Amino acid sequence: MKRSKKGCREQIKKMKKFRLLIVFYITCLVFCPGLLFAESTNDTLVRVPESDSQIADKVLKQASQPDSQSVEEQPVTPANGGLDEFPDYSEEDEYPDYSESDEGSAIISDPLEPINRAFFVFNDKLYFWFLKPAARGYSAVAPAPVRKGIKNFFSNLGFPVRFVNCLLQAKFSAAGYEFERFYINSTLGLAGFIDMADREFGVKAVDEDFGQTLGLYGLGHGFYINWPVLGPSSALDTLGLAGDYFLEPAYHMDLEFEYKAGLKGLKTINSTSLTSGDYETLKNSALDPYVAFRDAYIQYRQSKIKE
Amino acid sequence: MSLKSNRWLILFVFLFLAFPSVVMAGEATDRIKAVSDKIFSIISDQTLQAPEMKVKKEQMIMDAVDGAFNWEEFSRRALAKHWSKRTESEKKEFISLFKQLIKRTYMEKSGQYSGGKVEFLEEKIDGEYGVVKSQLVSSTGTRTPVDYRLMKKDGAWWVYDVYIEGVSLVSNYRSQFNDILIKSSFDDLIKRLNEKIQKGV
Repeated sequence: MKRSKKGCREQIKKMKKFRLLIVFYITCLVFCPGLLFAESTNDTLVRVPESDSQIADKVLKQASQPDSQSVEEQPVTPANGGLDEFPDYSEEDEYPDYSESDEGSAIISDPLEPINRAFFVFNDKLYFWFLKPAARGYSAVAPAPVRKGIKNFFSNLGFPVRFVNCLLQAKFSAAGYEFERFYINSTLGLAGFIDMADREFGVKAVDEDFGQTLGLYGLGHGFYINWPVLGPSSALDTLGLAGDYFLEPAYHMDLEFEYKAGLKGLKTINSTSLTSGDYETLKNSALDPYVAFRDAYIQYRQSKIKE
Repeated sequence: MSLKSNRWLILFVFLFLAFPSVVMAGEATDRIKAVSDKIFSIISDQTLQAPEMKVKKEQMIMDAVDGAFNWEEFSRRALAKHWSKRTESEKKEFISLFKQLIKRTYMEKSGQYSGGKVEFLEEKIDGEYGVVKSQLVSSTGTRTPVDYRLMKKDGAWWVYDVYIEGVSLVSNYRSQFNDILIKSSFDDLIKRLNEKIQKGV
């Protein structure tokens, strides 16, 4: 009798464990279809560096298919591939005589400068008076691993944006990585909270959005816009942001505005808490913080388009 | 199977022969690595943690950075077209101020150090120029790509620019200096640099 009771309890315990799994599984299932339309995260994601082994893999694949080609010819392919990864070299070589720096280093025109500067001051105050204290309070409550998990969760929701833009940019292998990441993280990674794809399988995130797609298609940045609250942007990236908005899960969810704003707020405060200090560092090191942020933004976006 | 593995072997031999600098960590990486190891050992040195050792600690970090950074090249590139218009003494003054400004930022960052490590990803050499790609992995696991641009001078590799998340430090300052020089004067730039350095962090 006693034994069977014990057995029962154990079974219930097992069931409880199991139930947790079921709940997670259902969450995943419910989330997945919704996730097909999701939002972009501007969090700093590290691209997959094309390592030599990957280059070698490509070469080997090519080598194994057309049998008639001689092996000796193959190493030429990675040589070109390798050189293509030197995008800045040509620029670098131009530098000694500074021919291109005549129009100043303003790589972007800024016709709205007076308004932009005003909003820069506004955003700066917003950061120091509201966002930073909020992020600080939030970090006191939520330990770093939890915040990391929430960041991963939001990042996982950005899958549709990255996936679609990878396809639009004909980066099919990157699209494959993204799909793999989304699949692994939504299931094994417990709805995206754990970045299992990176941790266990070494599949790193790629960062693509519509602004980069348009940039790759040859559209220029246009001019610089410093949006209130949203911060640095350009005509191109504003268009990109608007395009990506339709891929956001929030857009497709029937949520009240307050909830959407709440989610956005959580995401912002969460990512601020993880990158605290970066804003201050750039601001403190600059002679003219406005120009420093404008230049950093454009350089950052240009480097993303080049990737 | 044996044919396939043979191919692998041949290809690898070719890859290694053709791209020794890509496959192996080269001397440019070693140069950066030496500096970063030194800085890490200085910041984690317990005997240097005391407040009265702060000046000495900062001096040690500065010396380590000086060992691999070519400040003249930094300054020349940051001033770009305005560089040639300056006299020798003006150039000297500017180099010294610019160096202090950058170091101040580095120092502040190293003061915030809370664990983490540097990973060296790859090195690319093209004649006299080289790129060392690395990433800073923080204790929370956030990765920040940091690329060093180096040039070979007198047989040694010298850093002339640092790219943090795709943003060139030199270009960033160039746009600021240019903005000031166009709207104002070189004297004003020197004045503002001095003010910035005096102000401290």
